[in-house]
Amino acid sequence: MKPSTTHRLDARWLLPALLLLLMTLAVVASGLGFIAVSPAQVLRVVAARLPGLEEMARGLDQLLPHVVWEVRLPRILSAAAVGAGLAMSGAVFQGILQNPLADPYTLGVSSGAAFGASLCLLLGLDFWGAYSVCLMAFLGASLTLLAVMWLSSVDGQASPHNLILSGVIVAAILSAGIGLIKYLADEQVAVIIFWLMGSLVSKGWLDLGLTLGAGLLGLVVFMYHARDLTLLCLGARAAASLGVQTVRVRLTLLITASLVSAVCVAVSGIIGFVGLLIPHLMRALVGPDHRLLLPASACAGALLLLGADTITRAALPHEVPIGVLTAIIGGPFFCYVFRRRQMGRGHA
Amino acid sequence: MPETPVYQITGLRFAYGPTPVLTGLDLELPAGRFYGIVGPNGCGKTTLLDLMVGARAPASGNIAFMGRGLEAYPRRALARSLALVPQEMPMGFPFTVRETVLMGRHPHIPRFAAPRETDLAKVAQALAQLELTALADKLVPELSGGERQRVVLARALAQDTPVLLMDEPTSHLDISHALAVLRVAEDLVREQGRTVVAVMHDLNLAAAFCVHLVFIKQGRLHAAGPAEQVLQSGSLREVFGVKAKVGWDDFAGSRVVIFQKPGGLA
Repeated sequence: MKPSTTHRLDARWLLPALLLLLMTLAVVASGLGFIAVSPAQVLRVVAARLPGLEEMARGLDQLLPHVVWEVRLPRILSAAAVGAGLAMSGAVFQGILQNPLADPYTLGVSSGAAFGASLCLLLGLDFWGAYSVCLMAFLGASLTLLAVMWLSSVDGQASPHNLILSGVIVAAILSAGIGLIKYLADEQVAVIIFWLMGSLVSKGWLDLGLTLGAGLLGLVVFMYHARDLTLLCLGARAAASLGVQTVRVRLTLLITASLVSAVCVAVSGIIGFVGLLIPHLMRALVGPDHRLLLPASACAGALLLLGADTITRAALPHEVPIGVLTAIIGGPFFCYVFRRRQMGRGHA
Repeated sequence: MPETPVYQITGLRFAYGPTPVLTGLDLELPAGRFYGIVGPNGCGKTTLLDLMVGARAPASGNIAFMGRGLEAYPRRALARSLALVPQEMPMGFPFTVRETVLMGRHPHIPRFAAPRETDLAKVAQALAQLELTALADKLVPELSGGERQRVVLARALAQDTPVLLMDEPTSHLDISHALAVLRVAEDLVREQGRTVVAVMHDLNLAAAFCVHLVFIKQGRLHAAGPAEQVLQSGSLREVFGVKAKVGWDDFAGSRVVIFQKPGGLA
């Protein structure tokens, strides 16, 4: 087979285009739902929040600011932030593991977060108010990552293969643990099951702040190391000979990506396929250089989850858990992409 | 006053867990030569390169690089003096040939800066030297094994370092490309005074290009010196346990090795 010449989109156009699309979709989605609000009204409600522009809301229905600002916007922006966080950490995990099929699940990080959160819901832990579930999810994710790294590393170096194997093993043990928690939960079981299926229902500004904070921290750390991550794709030995502090960079990125995905899981439950599908698609569009891939994945992940959440919220007669929707849409699409790549590749 | 050797290695020891690999290796490599490291499988050649490039730390012993302890160099500074051509390059991601070779320039480009004219010129030059210009915009995962190996070499050439370490640089190449690649390395040494250290499996290629040979056996230095002195049937018997005839050949323009298959007439 003759090797193909690549055609890549110019990132100078793609990134602003994705951002513009994201903002438009956020405004339009804020108007959709049981009470219809026009995009112009949405913009007026938002503008009225700015100092000096309070009179923008004059003449609007009293209900609209509440519906848009208190109910819809935090949920919509949370959906976007979770999508961006999952897609970014998926791209980072794929880069570190040198495996285009890796994502927060492959390392067991999501299962760890889900286990921690389920335990929190089972025991009714409330030591830190609304943050309790989040904190337990992060604890679960971090401990899982530590266990996976310990299992897979020999004299301080963990091979990508070992990491994935260990991740799958630990995730299997944890899902049995989650099963046990569900069995023990009695009347609480519905809460846990619904949470595990993934949902953005009744997300407030607090959830948004948490996700956005973790996401922005992640973005800064990821972008600082983006070039090192790209060099790591050549293998640790080659990256080290090109001046990359391989052990430190890998550890920093693994911990940060786990933190970001743990917060996403804690806020929204398990939402699959975003972290797997989006980096895959973006790699085909902008190429595998993480300096472009990471911001492009963040924008596209935000778009996808915001779109999916709007469908479950405003278009379907009953609200379907968003994790179920992304899996139903994303799963077969991923199979199609994966199969086509296999057929096109032949030997690779 | 003699020039500082590129490498001064003393009492080098290394083990993977309980398995000793290097057991007290001493080696001194003066600058400006083409060295070939030869030895049987598992004798510690690749491990030695790993230690020489600083990817692993020795259990004991010392490696001085250009007169200074290797561990004293910051990674990026070292990457401007020392390039490595590893044996295998994992390539799960669709980088183009040009992008991959440009990665060799990263030790010279600040973290957030774009490549300069000189960087792009070095990349173009490296692509031309390894006859990759026509493949520059192809995807690396879709290339053949030999083409990929040349991409790795081109990346190391673009790195533009005074010292180049190569781990079996010709293992996936046909004989014509193998000769061409080693010729490029030979020119680096001859015309630009650089130092090349290559782990070699093919003893005839080693004899043809490497002016100095280093024999390693069971994690120790067995012999080192000019090829005409150390490449002898005796040393091949001691290190590899094979029967061989070694002699100068006018057609090859170098020493050649002819092997006898096991159980053949002695």
